[in-house]
Amino acid sequence: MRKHTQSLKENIKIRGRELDSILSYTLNGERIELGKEELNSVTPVAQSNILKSAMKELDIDSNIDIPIGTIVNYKLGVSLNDSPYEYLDYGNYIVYSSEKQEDTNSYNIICYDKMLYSMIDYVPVDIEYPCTVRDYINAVCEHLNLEFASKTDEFANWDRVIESERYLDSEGNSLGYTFRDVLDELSQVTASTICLNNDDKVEIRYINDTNDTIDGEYLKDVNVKFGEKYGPINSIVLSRAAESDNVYLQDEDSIEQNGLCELKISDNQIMALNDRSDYLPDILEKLNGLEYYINDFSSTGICYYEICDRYNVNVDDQTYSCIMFNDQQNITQGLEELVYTDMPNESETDYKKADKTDRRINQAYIIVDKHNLTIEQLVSQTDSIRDSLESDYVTNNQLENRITQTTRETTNMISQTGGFNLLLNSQFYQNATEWEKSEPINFETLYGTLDIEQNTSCKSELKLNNGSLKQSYVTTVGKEYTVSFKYKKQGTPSKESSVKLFNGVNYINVLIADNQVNNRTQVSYTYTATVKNPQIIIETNDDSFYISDLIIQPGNSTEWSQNANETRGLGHTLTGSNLTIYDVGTSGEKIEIDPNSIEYYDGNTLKSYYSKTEMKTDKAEIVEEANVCGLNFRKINDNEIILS
Amino acid sequence: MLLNKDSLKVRGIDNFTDYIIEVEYGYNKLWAADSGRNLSGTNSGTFLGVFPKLKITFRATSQQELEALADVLDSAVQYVTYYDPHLKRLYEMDTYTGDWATRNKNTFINVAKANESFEISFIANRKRPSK
Repeated sequence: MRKHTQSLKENIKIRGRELDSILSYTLNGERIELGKEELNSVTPVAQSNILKSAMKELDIDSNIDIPIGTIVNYKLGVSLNDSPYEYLDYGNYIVYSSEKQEDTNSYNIICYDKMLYSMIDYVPVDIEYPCTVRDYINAVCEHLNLEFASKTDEFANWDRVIESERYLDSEGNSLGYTFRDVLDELSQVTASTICLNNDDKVEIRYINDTNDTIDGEYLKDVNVKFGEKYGPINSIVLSRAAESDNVYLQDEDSIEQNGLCELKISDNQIMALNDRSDYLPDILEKLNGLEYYINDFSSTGICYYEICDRYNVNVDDQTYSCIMFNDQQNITQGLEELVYTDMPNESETDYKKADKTDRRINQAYIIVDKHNLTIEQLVSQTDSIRDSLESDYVTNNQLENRITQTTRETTNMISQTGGFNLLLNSQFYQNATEWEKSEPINFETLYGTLDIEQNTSCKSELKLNNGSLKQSYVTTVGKEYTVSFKYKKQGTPSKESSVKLFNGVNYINVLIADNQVNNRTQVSYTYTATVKNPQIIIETNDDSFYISDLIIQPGNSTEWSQNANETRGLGHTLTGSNLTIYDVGTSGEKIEIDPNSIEYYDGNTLKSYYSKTEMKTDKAEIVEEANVCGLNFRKINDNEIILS
Repeated sequence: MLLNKDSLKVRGIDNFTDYIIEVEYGYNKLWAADSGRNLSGTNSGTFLGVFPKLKITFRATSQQELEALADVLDSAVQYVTYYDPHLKRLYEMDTYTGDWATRNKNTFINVAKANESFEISFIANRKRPSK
C-alpha cells in the first residue's frame, strides 16, 4: 500500500474532502513544482497481473510543457476542513511524450515508470554462466541501470541454475526478445509480479495481504460489479511445443475439495529444458490456494492501494476478497477511480498426456532449444530388459548423431531413458560420478554378470568396502517420498553398514545393517519431506556392502527408474544436448560432444579439441594434401612432396 | 459584511460605498463533478471551496458617475476588497462581473440622475483562502 494514515483513509471518502496535486521535477538544475494551477488533470494508471512484469503510467494535462526524458514525481494530497494536506506518493516517472493541444492550449504529457528502460531489444548481459536466477535478474537490472531490491533475498526458484544464455541464439543473435519480455518470463519463474517500488528499484512482488476493508462508502452508486471467484489455484502446468508437451504439479487434496484450477505457463525459455519440473515446487508453493473475486467498479477514490495488494470489499453483508491488478485514477477537480480485475485466460490440460516430469518412457517429447537452434525428439519403448534405444538429433547445420546400444548376455551395455528418480547416477557408473565421495574410499561398480542381469532392474550394483557416498536431492516440503533399494552385506559381521537421510540437522536411519545378509533384500522407507534439499548417505567401514536399484521418488512406489534429466549407460551419459562417451575399462579416457565442439580427454587432461573454427591436437597426420595458411602441401609419392 | 466605508472597496472606483444602496454577500460553495451519493447512499464528493459573490445594488447615477463605473464594471477582472466574517479581516479578491444594465426614465425631469438604479454581481475567480 502507499504509505498513509487512517485519517487519509477516512477523509478521502467524506463529502467536503479537498484535493491537491504536486508534480515535481528538476530542469536545468532548478527544482520545479507544478500544482493545481498548472495541472488540469492527472491520471495514474496501473495494469498488471501475476506472472507478468508491470509498468505504471501517468497521463498529465498541464498548462506547462515538460521536456521528454525528464523524471517527474507525483503526489496526491487529501485534506478535510482545512487540515494540512496528507500526500500519497505515486513515485517517479519518465516523460515519454508531450503533445500540444491547441484547443485547450495545454499539453498532453504521457509518462511511464523506469520499467520503460526495459523496452529495448535484449542483448547479452554481464554474467557468467551457469548462474542462479537471482544473479541473472541482478545482471539484467544492472544492464538497465536499475537496482534490484531483492538481490540478497530468497524467493521462488531464486537458486535454480541457468546453464547458458536463453534469449540469444548460439551465435549471439537476437531471437526477437526485449528485456521486458525477459522480465515477463522471470516473473513466471519466480511466480511473482516484477515491478518497481517507489525507490525505483526492481522488486519481486508477491500478493500483499493488507487486511484492509472498504465498504460502499468508497464505491460509486453506478458501475459496481463483482463477479465469480477465481481459484483456488491448485495445479501449475509448464507447457512447450505449442502446449502439447506438459509437465505439472498439483495439490491433490485441493483438487478433490475445490475442483481443478490450473495455471499454465507456456514456452518459458528458462523453464524449457528437461529440468523444468524442478521449478514447479516453488511456483506451486507460492500460488497454491490463490483465489480472488473478479471485479469491475467505480470508486469515489481509494488511491492508497498498489499493485498486488489484497483487500476486502464489504457490500450488502457480502465480503469480496480482491487483489489490485488494474487501477486508473482520474484526478481533475474531483476524483474517480476505476478498478478492475479480469478472469485469467482459462486453460485445460489433458493430464493423460502430461506428466509430473519429462519422463521419456512411453512418451514422445520435442524440445525446441532456441538458444542452440536444435530440435530434440525422442521416442522410446519400455521394457525392463531393453533391446535397443535410438535417439536422433537434428540441428540446423544438418549434423546427426545416432546412438545405438544393444544388450548382450555377458556384457552389460544398457542405456535407459529418464524416470522418477530424484538421484543422479543411481547406477554408480563412471566411478560414481554425481556422488560426493569420502577420502579415503574403496568401492567398485559391478555389472555384466548373470546374477545382476537377472536380479536387478538397474543392471548394476555398488560394492562399497570402505568410506561413504553422499548425494543431495530436491524435495517439496510436506510431500511424501519413498527411498528404496536392495542390499547385501558380506564381509565382517560385526562391522556396521548404513543408509541414512540427513535433513541438515537430524539423521534418519533407513538401514543399519550389522548382520550378514547374503541374499539381496528389499528395503523401503516412506517419509514426509521437512526440508527442500536433504541428503542420502551410504556408508560402511571395512565391510562388503552391496546396493542396487536405489531410488528416491515421490509417493510410495519402490519401482526403480532413472533420473528424469539423464540418459545414462555404462559407456555414455546424455544430458540435454551434451554427450559423454566413456571408456568402460580403466583408461579414464572419454570424449565429450556438444553442438559446438568435440573434446577428447585422457583422465582430466584435454588432449584434442575440434570445433567449427579450430582444431587443437598433439599430433595430426594428413595423408595426401593439406593447405596451411595458404601454403599447399601435396604428396606426390613416398619420397616427394610439392609445396606451392 | 459592511462595517464602514472602508470595508467595501473596488479598485479603480473612489469612494465606492457612496454609489451603493445595498450589498448582498454570498458565500457559495462549489463542488467537483464527482459529487453525489455513493453506494451506501451517503453524500460524497470533492469540495472545491467557497467562492464569494457580492451582489451590489447601485443608486441612480449621473452621466459622469456612470462613465466612471462602467470602466471597471466592464473590465475582465475586478479587484474587490470586503470584510469577510470567516476570515475576520478585510480580503481582496479578483472577480468577474455578471451582466448589468441601466435604465433611463423621465430624463427631461431629472437630468442630474438620469440613470436608474441597477444591480450587478462581483463573483470570485478563485476560492477564498483558509484562515
